[in-house]
Amino acid sequence: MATVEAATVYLDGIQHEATVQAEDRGRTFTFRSDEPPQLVGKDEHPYPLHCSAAAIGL
Amino acid sequence: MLTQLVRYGRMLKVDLKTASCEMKARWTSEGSVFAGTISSTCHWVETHLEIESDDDPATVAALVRDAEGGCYAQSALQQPVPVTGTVRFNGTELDYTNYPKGRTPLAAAIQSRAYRFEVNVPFHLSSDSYL
Repeated sequence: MATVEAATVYLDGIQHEATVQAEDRGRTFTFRSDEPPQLVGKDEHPYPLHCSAAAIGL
Repeated sequence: MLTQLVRYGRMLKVDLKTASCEMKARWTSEGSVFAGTISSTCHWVETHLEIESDDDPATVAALVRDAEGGCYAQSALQQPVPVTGTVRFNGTELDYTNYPKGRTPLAAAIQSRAYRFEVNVPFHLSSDSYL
């Protein structure tokens, strides 16, 4: 059984930052998302859909 | 996928020399933000594993089946689960499900009309995600 938690916060433009933490550890990791220019993004980070696709592969 | 592939591979004593995975997914979103009819769909997900190992195909095939079965992200898509949401608005709980969809004056006008008609503000997004 695994329970995971993630918190996301709006940064700027259409960029967001996610913070994830395992339930049994205090350590957290952060990563950001963005969108392509045609969706009002800066194309500086992976798109949220990229994260979902990567989650399957990881 | 790869996490479970490697984890289960160690359990099954499968010698994985290399392993990589490519994913492709098709998503679309359609409807009207103004009318509150936005809906997104994941149409399909394709995965492609590249594995190098000296073990026999039957062993590797069994490992792949285990890895697919144990992949949490893939299982979440294949076996949809309830998703619940809560909102705190300005420090107070907001039961957003008690409010009508679409909150622009136009949407409100549409919802209040005795007769219904369709107002479409098309929004269509489709993207393929390659890694």
